[in-house]
Amino acid sequence: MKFRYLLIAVIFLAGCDAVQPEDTSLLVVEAFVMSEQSLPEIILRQAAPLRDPYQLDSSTAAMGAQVGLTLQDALIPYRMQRPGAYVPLDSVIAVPGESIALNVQWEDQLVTARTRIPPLISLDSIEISVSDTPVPGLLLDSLFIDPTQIDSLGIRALGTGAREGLVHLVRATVYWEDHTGNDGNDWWIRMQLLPTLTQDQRLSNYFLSSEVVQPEEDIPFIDANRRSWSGSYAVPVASQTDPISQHGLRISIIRCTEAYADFVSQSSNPGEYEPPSNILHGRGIFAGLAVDTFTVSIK
Amino acid sequence: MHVTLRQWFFRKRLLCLYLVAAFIGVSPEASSYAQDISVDVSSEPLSQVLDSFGTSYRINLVYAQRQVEGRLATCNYVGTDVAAALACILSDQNLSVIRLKRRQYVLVEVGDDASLDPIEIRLGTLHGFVMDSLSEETLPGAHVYLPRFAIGSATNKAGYYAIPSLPFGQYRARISFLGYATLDTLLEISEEPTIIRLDRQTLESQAIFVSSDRRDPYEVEPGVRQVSVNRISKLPGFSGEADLLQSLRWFPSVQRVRTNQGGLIVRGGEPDQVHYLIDGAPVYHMWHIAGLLSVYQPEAFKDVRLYQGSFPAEHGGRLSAVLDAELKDGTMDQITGLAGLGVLSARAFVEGPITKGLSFMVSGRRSYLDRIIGRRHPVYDGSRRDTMRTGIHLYDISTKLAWRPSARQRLTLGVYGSSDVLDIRLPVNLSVVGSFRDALPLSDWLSPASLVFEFDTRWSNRLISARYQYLYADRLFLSATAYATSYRAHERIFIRPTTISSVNSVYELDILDVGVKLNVDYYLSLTHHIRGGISIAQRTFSSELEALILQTNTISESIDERSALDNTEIVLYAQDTWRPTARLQIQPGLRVSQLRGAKDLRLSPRLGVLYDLDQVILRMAMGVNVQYLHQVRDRYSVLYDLISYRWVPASRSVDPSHSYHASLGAGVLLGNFFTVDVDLYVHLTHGLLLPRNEQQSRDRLLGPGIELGAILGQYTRGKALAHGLEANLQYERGASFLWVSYAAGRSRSRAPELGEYKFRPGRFDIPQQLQIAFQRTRSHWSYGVSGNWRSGYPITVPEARYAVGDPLSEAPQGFLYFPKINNGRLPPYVNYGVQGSYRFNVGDVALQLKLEVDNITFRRNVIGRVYDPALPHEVAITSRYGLPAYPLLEITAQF
Repeated sequence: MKFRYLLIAVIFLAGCDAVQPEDTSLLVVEAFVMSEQSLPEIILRQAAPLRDPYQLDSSTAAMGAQVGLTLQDALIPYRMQRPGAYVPLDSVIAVPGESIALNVQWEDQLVTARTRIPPLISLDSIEISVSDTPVPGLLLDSLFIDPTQIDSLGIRALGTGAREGLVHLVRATVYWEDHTGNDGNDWWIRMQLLPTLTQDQRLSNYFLSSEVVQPEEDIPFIDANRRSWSGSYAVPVASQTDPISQHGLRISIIRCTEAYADFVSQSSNPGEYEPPSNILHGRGIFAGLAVDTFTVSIK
Repeated sequence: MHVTLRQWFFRKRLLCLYLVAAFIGVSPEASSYAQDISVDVSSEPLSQVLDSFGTSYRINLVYAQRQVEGRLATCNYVGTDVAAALACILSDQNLSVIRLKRRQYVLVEVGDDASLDPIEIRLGTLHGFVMDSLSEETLPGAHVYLPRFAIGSATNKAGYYAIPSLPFGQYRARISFLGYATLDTLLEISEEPTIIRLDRQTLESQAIFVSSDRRDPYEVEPGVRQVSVNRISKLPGFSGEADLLQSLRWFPSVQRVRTNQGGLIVRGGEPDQVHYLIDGAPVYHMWHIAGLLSVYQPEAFKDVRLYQGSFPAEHGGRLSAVLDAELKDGTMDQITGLAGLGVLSARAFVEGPITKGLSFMVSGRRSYLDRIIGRRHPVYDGSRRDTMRTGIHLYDISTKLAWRPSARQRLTLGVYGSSDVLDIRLPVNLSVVGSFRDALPLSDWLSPASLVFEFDTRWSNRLISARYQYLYADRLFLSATAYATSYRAHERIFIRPTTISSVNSVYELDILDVGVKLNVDYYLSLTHHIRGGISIAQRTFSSELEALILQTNTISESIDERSALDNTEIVLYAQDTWRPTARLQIQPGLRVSQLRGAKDLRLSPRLGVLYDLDQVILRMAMGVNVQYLHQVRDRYSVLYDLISYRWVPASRSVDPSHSYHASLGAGVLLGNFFTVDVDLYVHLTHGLLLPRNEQQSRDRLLGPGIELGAILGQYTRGKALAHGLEANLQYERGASFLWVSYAAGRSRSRAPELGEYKFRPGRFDIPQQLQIAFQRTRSHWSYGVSGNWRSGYPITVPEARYAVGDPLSEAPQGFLYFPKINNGRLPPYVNYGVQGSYRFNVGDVALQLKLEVDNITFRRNVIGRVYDPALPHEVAITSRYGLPAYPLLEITAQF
């Protein structure tokens, strides 16, 4: 009898943890409202068990949802065009500065989100320079030690895929005009240099900043209305005399809200943590964006 | 400083409780109650009358047979006053009584003057010092007990005891201390302090004496674990080398943190909630490289006390525990020493007398790997020269000088220093490394490199503590401590991935803590020992970061930030150790603290109760603790806060954290060889700093920076709740020793600002842990086995996977759904070990060869899990494993 009480006391004190059952009824929203463009297609998906493959098809699409955007007190209803993809019934232009709300009723879930439409942004000019001669560089996929290999002395993990080689450094400076002035909004900027390199030419961009997300006001003006940012990336070559291989470079700039900036900047390590979502009772992102991209050929 | 209504009411309640206890304690009459007394005797033997009186009215009368022999008593008394009744019985006998405490009187002779008032009878204080018979080290926490009177006193940190208000004369006393042979002797009241010398126990006799110690109700203060340094250091340690903090994990309330920073967790708290003191001075970073060794060498310490949960009022400043360690003074006998050589380090210890009254102690330890492999290695490939650096070493050194100019005075100077260096430069031909993944002869992959990785981190502790102890009067003992302690860390990283791009960062951290403490012990009466004091501590925390990131020769980014924070904490405390009866000890206390410049006083009431039932000691403790420091680290950048955590002092803008603690327990003596301790506790913490993103990994070069706002922005205020049961069984008989500790408990936290309305498992939540060690000594051999079973650490387990696209991405990216923090748990951790040692003598030198093998079953304990959500395949789950079996060898020589 005494042991029974002791057992009850220990269970009460220590309890036990059980991993919660898998929750796959989660609704995931992907919606980007582009400034001065028609209201966008909205993608609705659902989460899937960890053990299952995740296909971007009807197996993961959230179907039968009631979707609506509210813009200036006007409700714009959506209909499903294909599994999980919903389009507006009316053609409405997203006007910069406006606030816009999303409502989704799916099964027994009501999912909502809100965002603002940023002012348009456009790349004003671009300067690109390539190093005359290649420089020695470490070619490695990541500086992080492979966590699955850390139980050995770590040498093998550190060396995995790493080698010395030669790289051409490409520097790109982009300029854009900022007329937002003091509009009361704290806009963020995302800039990205995306070279179209083959897989074996890709390098860690750990030191070479080919992408940045930061408040627009933190980027200094270079004259009255223009701001600029410089980024770089590397392209490996086989020998000292080799010229840089011809490739495309897509330069992108996005003006966005802080919610989108947080989502993007914290998406880098999805195996360890989730990016913060602005979807209430769901996951994903609903963001107003102003985007401009420009593609050049580097040779 | 914000205090909620609820907190205010809680404090009020505790304060009232304290005041009630204190009121009862200082009012002797309040504790007695009236009873009808009737004495009617005529010419009856005095001894019979006194015996009958004592039995009838439950009065303990102490007298010598010779005092009453042949005397007759005549008395007729009806009333309620015990003293008056006794005076009646003793009338015309030249005898009187003195009330020692409630229901306890002692018979004294008053000479021919029968009219002499007992008040005028000369009383004195039985007082003195308890010390080691050979070394003359004073023994804090020893017990002087007068069995006949069932009263006693525990020695203070200077080894001083005092039992006041006793009639002049001789008293039979029993003196006991952990690890020493109990001494039965006669003590006499005198002006000068009596020196009591205790002999160290021999191993064979240890069991009996430990058992008898446990019967002494004054053995244990509520909430205190007094560590027998000799005993605890013999239990297996993780590193195989003698290390005090490593050994503390054998207590059920203590967990070791397996991180680079090391640390202890006590009763479900956080590592920063343990206050580490050496000779009264705080130590801020007490672990060496990778947390393998602590800075505590067992040989250097004579007394180690672990206060857990509810501390005596003297201690505070942290929420969950105080580890108060006292360096040895150095023996006054002869110069002795010890040298040891282990797998990680070599150590030495020497102590001895310098002149009469002056002694010294020096203890040091140093790793020697760098002495074997060297720190710098030239690398040459026929045309280029480079240097590989492998400067990895650690050391710590403790010294103490003790001067005893007279029996009443003692002056000590303790100096402690430690340092760790991790200086690595690897000029590596990574092309070769990438080609040969399995066999890597050193010469194949070392070559001069223009692309390098350098990591130079070093940190050090420096501590100086001067202490003056003075017996001002037999009832008044003063102790003053002045200290300065510093911690410095330097982290430099240089990485050059291409010849024109690099990262060069230097991060410096500097902590300086300077303080003074004055403690007073006043032995008010037989039943009241008052302790009070004041302390002032000035702390400064400065850090500096300079980093230059060169993307190319034209694109650069730099950061140059400095942060300087400080606070001054003033503390007043008072505590009464009240022993109203032979079985009961009540210890109310109040600690009042304030930050300079802050408005609010922080009250930390404490209450401890012990009740002795012969074979069982019941104990209860409760109290409020305040912590004026928060330990944080940047959660984004890989350039700083790598080894060193940062401390943020409470200030006007940063509230301290505080906690409420209560515990209830019992110590049980089973026969002569078993002792069992069981404790229940609950600990509620407010104002804890919890990370806003618990899972955030450090994956950026630059984080938000080192300024206060940047670091605090990564944290939010939270609450923590820990509760549990701790049990410890010891069996010690002759040469066999069994130690079993079991802990069941939960440690949970929540951050309301993040929408956490329910408590969730904390990062070190371990529901169950069982540890067993058995050791046996036979002649020259000792051998033992040990086992450790515990629940796995909590981990955050994804519950599902989803995908989200992006305007700049060609395809959606896979993400994991982590709805709850720490919703899962790693598999249980199991570790079995064996230990053995062989002792032999070479001349006057005693040698010991010790071998430990940990994880002897080669179990691959899972220490982490990694999830890969890349689309479209199923989520890959990869486990990380701990070390397989590893042997550790140490040889020591004692002279």
